[in-house]
Amino acid sequence: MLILLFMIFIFLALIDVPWLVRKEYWWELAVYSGLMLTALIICVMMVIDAPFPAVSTEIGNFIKSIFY
Amino acid sequence: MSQLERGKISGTQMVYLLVSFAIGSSIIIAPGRGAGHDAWFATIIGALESMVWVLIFTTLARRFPDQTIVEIMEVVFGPFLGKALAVCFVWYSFHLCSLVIGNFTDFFTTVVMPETPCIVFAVSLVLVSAFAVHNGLEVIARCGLVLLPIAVFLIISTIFLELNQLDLKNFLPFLETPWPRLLKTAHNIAVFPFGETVIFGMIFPYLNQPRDGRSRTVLGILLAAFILTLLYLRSIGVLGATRSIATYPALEAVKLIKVPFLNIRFEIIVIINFLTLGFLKITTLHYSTVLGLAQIFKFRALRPLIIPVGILTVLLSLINFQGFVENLEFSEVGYPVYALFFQLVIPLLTLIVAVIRKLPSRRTGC
Amino acid sequence: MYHKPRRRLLRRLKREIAKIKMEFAREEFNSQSAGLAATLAANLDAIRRELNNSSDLIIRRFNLGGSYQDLGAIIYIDGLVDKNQVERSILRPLMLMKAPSSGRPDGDDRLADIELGLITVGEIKRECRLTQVIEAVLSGKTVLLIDGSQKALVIATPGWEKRSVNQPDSEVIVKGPRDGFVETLRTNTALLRRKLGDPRLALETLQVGTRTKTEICIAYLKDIADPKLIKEIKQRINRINTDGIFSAGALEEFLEDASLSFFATMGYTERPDVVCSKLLEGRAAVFIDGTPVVLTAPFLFIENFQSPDDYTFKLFFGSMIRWVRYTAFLISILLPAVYVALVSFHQEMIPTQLLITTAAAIEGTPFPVVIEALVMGLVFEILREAGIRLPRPIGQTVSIIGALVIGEATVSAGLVGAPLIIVVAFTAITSFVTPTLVQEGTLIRFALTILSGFLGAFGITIGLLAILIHMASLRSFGVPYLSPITPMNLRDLSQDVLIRAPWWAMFTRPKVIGGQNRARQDFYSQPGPTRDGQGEAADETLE
Repeated sequence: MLILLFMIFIFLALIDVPWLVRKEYWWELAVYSGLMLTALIICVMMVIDAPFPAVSTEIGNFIKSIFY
Repeated sequence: MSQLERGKISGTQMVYLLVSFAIGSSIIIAPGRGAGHDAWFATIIGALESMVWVLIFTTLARRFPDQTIVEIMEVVFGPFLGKALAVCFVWYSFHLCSLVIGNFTDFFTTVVMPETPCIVFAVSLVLVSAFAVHNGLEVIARCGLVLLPIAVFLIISTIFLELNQLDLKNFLPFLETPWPRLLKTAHNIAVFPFGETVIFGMIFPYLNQPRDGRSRTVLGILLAAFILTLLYLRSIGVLGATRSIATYPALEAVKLIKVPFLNIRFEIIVIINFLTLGFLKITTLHYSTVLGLAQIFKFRALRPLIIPVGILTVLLSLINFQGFVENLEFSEVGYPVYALFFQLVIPLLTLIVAVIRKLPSRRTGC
Repeated sequence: MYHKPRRRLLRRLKREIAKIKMEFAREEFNSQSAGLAATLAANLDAIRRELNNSSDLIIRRFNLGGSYQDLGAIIYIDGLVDKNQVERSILRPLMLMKAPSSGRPDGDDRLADIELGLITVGEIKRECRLTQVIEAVLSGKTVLLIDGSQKALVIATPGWEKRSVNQPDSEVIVKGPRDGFVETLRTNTALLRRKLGDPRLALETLQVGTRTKTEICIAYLKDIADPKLIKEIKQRINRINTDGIFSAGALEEFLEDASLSFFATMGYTERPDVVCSKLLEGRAAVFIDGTPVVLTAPFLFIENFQSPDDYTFKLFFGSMIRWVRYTAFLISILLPAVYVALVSFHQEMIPTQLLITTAAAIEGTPFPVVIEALVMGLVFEILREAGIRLPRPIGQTVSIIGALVIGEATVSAGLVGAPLIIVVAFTAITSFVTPTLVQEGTLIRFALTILSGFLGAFGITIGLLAILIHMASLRSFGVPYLSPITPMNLRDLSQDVLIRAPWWAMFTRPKVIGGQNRARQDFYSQPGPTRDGQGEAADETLE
């Protein structure tokens, strides 16, 4: 499963990275890599069933604690 | 004007896009639950309430006709605070996108194809939306121009097909719900879906006539309110009291269509409607997220951001809620306040600071 | 590193392309510098050598006007020239009559006198370069060389075999002119001129193909067509640098906007009346010598559904036929996919009685419906291809019988469900309603079937959305592909898309194409009986 995940990410990277390198958009490449790494980390955490805070529920609880 | 987006869309195309955006998820997730059979009236009040907010952010947009909201924030608040607030705004667009995708996958996995894992729906939708964003704003607007008439035609035909089942008694007694609850529901409706049109602040600069932004938005909201009211009228008229307990009232309403000779089921119409309009909403949100991020980070092209943002949106949509009940609770309790912050507070703040600082420095008049 | 082999290959490719480019340049340079020699013998030797002593090259030497000092020769390719004309209008006057300046030393003067006074042919030119002379000989012209002159006379005497003007097989209409284009460029432009007598019809000729030297003619109406469009077409044609262009399809691929898309962005037709009406709307037409197919630019998606027949039928029937075509196209791309989706995923959508009969019919078939649908689609394509290539009388019979037999046999053997055969057959028939969309329709149909096999109705909608997005992003020579649906133009929509407006109401040209000159005719000259001044109908007084 993890291997499939890595293959998918490499495939997706192959779509954009050569284009970025050819045009020499280094800053864009840096941000792109950062975002893809974040996505990869989150995916890996989901695959290995790490506990996640449920985002919107947390936001809802936060709002409730302030206003109600 | 940045060179990130070179397309220009006409005012009509923006109205179509706005109406699709506003109706998009409301076809399925009807927010007027609390008001019972006065929900249609709550829609009208909600639309009027959202006009106030629309006035605020369109005034802001008119002061800076060539800049998206993200750029305006950077100009008004300076580089650091402006970028921080812009990040907040982009976060809102991003979160909203993931919420809509979540609604989508919930609907499809519950109603249409229960055996398919929800990630499949999310990924395919985001893929198509990424393709559209890659092609630019003009293409998105043109798709909206084609898809909205089809959807509206289908909606109106379902209403006509159900006229024989409309029970006017379901609307009485009128205004039975107590005023506080009615106003709260109206406020909910004003936040979702009408207030979400603040996202279109990212699109105003690309109109042929940027000054038309306000009138077009108002027109779009009025049209969307009209269509939504019709939808509520249909659901209430046909379903009556059962409307409040149905999770997807539109679906339940359409299931009751009985045409004498044809024995087919009409739910497919609702599904197609939701799919096309929801696709437009997701694409618009995806586009505004990508554009906002590109402007914050001062990118030279939109292309590298499209796929990462798409992936992150899908991931967020999967981890948003723990269960469907939380989804409902959030949409009733948390979201109206949460979204208000982005739809009203931030634009208002920006406008006030802009007026105080007398920006833009070369005013050409409103 | 794994990049290296790819880079080596790329470098090798680049070197080969650079070599080819240098060869082209050298050929051009060489060919441009050679001129004609002064003596007849040297010229004839050079020409014979360049044409490799071809057996169909005829060189006829003669004495001008009977005098033994003046030598001349005509050169032509047997089979390409009209021999009668050559003998009557070139050889006879040259051999029998005396030129006024014969005997004078200056060869060029003698040539001028011959051109102006002796040769009784309409099209005649003077050339001084060897390559031009050879090109002229190879394109069916007769070349006259005289001793002492470094110029040659190129006389046009075309006389090759050509097809007679006939209705094209692929675009048959019921009520209308029966002429179609042929393979000769001049005949085609003549057919167009017969329909458009406007002096503002411009015909510009270019040449493409370094070896085929194909003549291409761009036709447009000067005050209606957008000058930017014409400039764009000419620029694209000038960029072509290839060996040969044989067919309209090849030229289309060099000229079109999106080669990778499977939507055609240039229209094609074989009928002069279609070209004429497209020119009147502000488009440009590209004629190619050697093929009867004419390309039109720009091309919109909606034109696939327009046929010249619509305009000869009356208003309501013409509009209805239009809508029948739209529906047929939708059915042809959606029907197999919808069938697969309904049977595999959404059985609850099928009405109960139909569900029972369908379930009984597909009971026991071993393969999933997707596989069946794809295989039967493939079988249909094979039958169609086979039917095209078989000789005419056998071909049609074989395809029909093949379809029937295969269909019946597979159903009886239990391999395929009977409803699927109906679906495939109906799809086949509807796909022929719009013949220009056969390529795209087939591809879309297969893609949608596969998608619906994976994801049901959701997959179909996703596929349609993706196609819509792609079409919305296409432009044909700068014009959005989906005009006039988007960007929406209500006038054009109501004239030619939603309904087929009657002739007397079509008073503007489509905005995105003929935007400069929008008025076609007077407002609302609705026909009816002529009325007198008193307001009575004229024919009432007949009683």
